[in-house]
Amino acid sequence: MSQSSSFFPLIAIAVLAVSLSSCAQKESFSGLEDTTSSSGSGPKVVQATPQVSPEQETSILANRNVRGNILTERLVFFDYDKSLVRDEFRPMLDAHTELLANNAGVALILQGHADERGSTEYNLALGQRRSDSVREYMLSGGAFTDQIESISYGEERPRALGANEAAWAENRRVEIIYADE
Amino acid sequence: MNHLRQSACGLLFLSLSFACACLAQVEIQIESQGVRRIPIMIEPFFGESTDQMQYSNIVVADLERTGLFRTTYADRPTTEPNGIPDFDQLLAANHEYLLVGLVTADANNIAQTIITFQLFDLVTQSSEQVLRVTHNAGQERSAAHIIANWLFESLIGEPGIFQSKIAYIHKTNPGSEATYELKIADYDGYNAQTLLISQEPIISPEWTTDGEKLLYVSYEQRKPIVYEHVLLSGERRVVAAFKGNNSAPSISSDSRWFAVALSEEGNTQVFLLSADGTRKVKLRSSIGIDTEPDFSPNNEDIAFVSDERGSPQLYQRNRLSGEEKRLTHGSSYNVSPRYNSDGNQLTYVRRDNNGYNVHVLNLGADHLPTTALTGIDLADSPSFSPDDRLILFKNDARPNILYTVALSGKIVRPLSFQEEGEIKDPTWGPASSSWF
Repeated sequence: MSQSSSFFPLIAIAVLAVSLSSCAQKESFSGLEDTTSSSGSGPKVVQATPQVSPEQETSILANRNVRGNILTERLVFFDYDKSLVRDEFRPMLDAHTELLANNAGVALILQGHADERGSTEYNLALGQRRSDSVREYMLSGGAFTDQIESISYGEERPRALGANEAAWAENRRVEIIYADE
Repeated sequence: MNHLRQSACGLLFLSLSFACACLAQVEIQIESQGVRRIPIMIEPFFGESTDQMQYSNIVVADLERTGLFRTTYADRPTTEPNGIPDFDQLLAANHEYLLVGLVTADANNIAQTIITFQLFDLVTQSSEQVLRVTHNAGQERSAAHIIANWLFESLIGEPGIFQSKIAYIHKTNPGSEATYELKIADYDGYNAQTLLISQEPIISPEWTTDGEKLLYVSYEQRKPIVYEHVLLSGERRVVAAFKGNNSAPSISSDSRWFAVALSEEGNTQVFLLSADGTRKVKLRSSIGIDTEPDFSPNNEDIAFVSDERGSPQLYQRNRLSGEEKRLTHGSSYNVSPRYNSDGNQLTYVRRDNNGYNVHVLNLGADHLPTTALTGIDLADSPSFSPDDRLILFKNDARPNILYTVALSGKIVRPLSFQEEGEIKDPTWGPASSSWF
């Protein structure tokens, strides 16, 4: 190793700081204020709209979860890298839209989701585009802007686990979540 | 907002002492098949344990990962430092260098361990000075990385990066009961520590240039908000909490600007926020999704993803002139751009016929040539090592481990550590910081 020529300056001690062991901040955020549930956990008061009598409205809302009712369908699935609402979901979305249009006090959250492939951040934006796409569809059908909030969880909340097309297709979705349920 | 504890943190010290360093510059000769790898025999050290703290084994793993060495790990030690190895036999086996070591307790301080080691040049039959690393209990892996750094610098002529850190998200209980932890670890995944734990998603950690803070996105308020987190103190502050999604944080190397993706106008767009909180500038207006901004090292350009032409492609925009260049062609899926520290390369994920691959794009060449470094992968989240020689990434097909790929020779290696559950959004930090 070229002992003859190149002598580098004498280095006495190189001090190297390592490790921040025991400095880790471990915090749970379970104690954070939940700013989203300002309405509390009690039942919501549903306001009547001019078009629908209270009895009718109550029955529509009450029947949302009756087996066989189209309103029990709450999932909209999407093609890979797409946010277009497929035709097969239009009747279901039309039914939810009609419920919103006829019940001004009812609100829902559209949660956009993506499959895990590709970038976390692009998937977050894709999920947002999907929830926005469903929101636009519902607004054009007569729902009101203050009834619908669209957000995205990207690839973070998969419905199906697994790295295959069947699982991915399950995960490219918008979930309809009623605020009063 | 609850108060995060401050904790006094005693720094531990490792000392690497030597009388003289005679640095050997070795030319790396390009062979027709690729880069020549330096052949080196590494012996287990006398007196070392054989668990995951085995120094010699860690040194072998560090060097092998770079793609610049062809290491041979001997079955047993034969030579002590200051001893005389069997030069002829080793050279006949085509080794050019030999590393040997000896581990002893410090007679003056029982809490300390002394590693003595020596590098031999088998071709010239000469030796380096015998060197010594002294460390406290628990610092075994750091001590081994220091030896590997010294060896790398001796033989390659540039500092090693084996003491650098990575950050990632660790997700357990996948499904509706998931827990998310923001962690930092040694570059090879060991010594992981949790900085933040939440029942709601945490995504997209990003180091500041000085390695003292992380930016990330947390859903703890039930929507994505960008935070800045000081590692040593645990102090946090909100960087972006506008209406809609706040995500994809990046910070300029001079720490004066953040770039984030916001959905407050509907479709996701890139905005620049001044670090003092006084200015908010939209990078450009696009009809598509614009996201994943990354500052060039000189802060003059921003690379980002946009699908305004129908599919996600990479673009680069000059901040001053507004001039834009499309960087990717020939694939309908290109995401997650990250500059190297020279600014002459970008790594990103591109969908090829055989899967999602880590690519490197050469920004210096006219036609922006791009090279796949992996094959048949569900690659995700690539980021450069501090010396630009390696790329850390994830493969969604094996979600509980991480990989590196060496640009030299495209050598893909998994990190040996595993997590229960899933690792997400790994990102490589700087070579050093005030705390490591």
